[in-house]
Amino acid sequence: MPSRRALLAGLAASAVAPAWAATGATHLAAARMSSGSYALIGLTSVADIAFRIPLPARGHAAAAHPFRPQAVAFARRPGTFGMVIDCGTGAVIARLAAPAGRHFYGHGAYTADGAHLLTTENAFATGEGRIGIWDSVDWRRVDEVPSGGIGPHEILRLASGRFAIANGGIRTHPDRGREKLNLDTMRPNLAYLRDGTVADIVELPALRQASIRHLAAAGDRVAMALQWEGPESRVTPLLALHGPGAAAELLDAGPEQAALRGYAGSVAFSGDGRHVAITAPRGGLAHIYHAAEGALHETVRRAEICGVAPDADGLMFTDGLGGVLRAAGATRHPVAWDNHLVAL
Amino acid sequence: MRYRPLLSLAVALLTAPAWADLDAAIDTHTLPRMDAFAAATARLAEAECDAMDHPFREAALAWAAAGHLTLGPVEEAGRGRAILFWPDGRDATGRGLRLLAGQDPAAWTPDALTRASVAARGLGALGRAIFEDAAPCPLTRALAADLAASAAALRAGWDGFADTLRTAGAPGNTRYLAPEEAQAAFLTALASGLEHTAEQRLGRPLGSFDDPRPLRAELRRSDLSLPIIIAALESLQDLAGTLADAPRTDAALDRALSQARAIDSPDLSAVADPAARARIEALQTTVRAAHRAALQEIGAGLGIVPGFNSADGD
Repeated sequence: MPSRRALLAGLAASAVAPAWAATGATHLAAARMSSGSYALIGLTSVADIAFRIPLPARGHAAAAHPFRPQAVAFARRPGTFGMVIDCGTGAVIARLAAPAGRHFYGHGAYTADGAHLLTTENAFATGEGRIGIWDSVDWRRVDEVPSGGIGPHEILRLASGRFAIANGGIRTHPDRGREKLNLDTMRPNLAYLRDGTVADIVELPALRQASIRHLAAAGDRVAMALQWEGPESRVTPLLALHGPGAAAELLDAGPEQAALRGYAGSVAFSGDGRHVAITAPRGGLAHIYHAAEGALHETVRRAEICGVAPDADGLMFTDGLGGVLRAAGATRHPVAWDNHLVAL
Repeated sequence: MRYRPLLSLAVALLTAPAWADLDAAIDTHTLPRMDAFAAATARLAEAECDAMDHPFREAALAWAAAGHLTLGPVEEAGRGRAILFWPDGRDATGRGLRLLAGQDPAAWTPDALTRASVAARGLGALGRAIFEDAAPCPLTRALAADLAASAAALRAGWDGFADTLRTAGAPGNTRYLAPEEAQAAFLTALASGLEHTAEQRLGRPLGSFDDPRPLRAELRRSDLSLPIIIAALESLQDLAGTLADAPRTDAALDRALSQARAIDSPDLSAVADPAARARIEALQTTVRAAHRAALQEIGAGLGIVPGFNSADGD
């Protein structure tokens, strides 16, 4: 039992909602256990394991309820299940099944009041992106709205209560696995959803073949992690930043950019908002930039690095070898951390 | 390069490995090969344009023996791809080299080349320049100097990186949090080298029986496609021997090497000859068997899933 003082200090540092704090976790990640099974794991502020809840298959990302200790773990695409889990008890509250003709992309986000969950989905007969809307009490599917593009991957709630959607632009069909069907004509975008309608669309005209897949936000600034689908000989930026009323800004690491091998897997702002990081699991490294100046600040080298999230003022990284890297030091668990790390 | 087959590693882990000292992989396998590559490229950079054939072959074979060591300094600044950009399905090397050749000769300096497309640099571009006269002499020499500079930087980088590997698990070493992570990095190099040999070096020219693709063979213009495979297999066998006692891997590589040495087609153009093709297919089958054996024998007990995120692509 932590002392009241430690508890309060923890609360102040991480601003985790009280019901979440009772679980001891500050972060969530899916992982593969050394036994070969899969789990959703809660990590404490010192990277110990707070809880571990079995998953039926490999997970991708989790969506955390804003104040109830409840999370939805999604299967990796083209998955058709989402599991709603009470992280306090480990109980499975509900199983979400994608409706006929839809599959999930592996990401979702709750509304600010926690009343609804939004999921990114593929209406694969037409290839149009959809946002499914679910009631977070009885888990009915109450509605769906267009995502504003093809292949919506991550959806993120912003401080304003609006949502940012990464429409990756790549058309797939479950009959063809993960085969990409439209690389020559793809047109990814960042869409902002307000009151259930796409209000703004931002494109990266210089990088039409850069699939926008993952998102992070600090205030009203949104960071996008990109996956390059064009010629391999071309080295491109893989991080874009967008703020209201401006064109997106592209960041790259100069001569070190090629080391990312054309693929950024996750993106996060540091807790103090001063830095923004992308991970490159193929390149085995992460690049941390100064968010204001857009200059490269630091390179972190770890094989299979992919998860990144804010951690107190700084950043926390996870990787497929079980490593958890924080400013205060590194630890290792006998698991393979999956693609994404979520801060509570 | 995809590491798809490595994902099966998790179910292959049955017995504990007999790991050799990590120092052997560094001191007897890696560093001598990095030395040899740096020396061979330095000789190529010193050669006159009409006498580059032989030093080019030496440099390319030195890289065949070292190119699987994708851990460490070769990952920095895209160095590996600037040394050899291959496979090259879209002929980016041909286009990049034509672009360079059309530029002002003042741009043909090793320094300027570091800003050129990686596809227009390194062994692939030099092979075109030397064996097809695809570049003027000053550009060819600049390409050779650029390659030698990459090789020297790679060799220099290994001094510090060797310490990083040796101190795996020590406080402050966040790159390798445990000794087995450093061992896994060498296993990944071995496995991906075998997979690259089977699926790319052999698989690309083999194509299918009805559609063989001899023009896709690696460095075929210099007749090095098969010699590269032999040099790579010899080196991978050496690495496997330093990592663990792996008799099935060793036997499969012995068999692959004798099969490779019996093929009489240095540029692998025999893939288009239905009679000779069978020998090349048989070699590919044996290299795949060596790959599986290495994962089972050497991967056993490491408890690591190479490619868990890097091959997931999401």
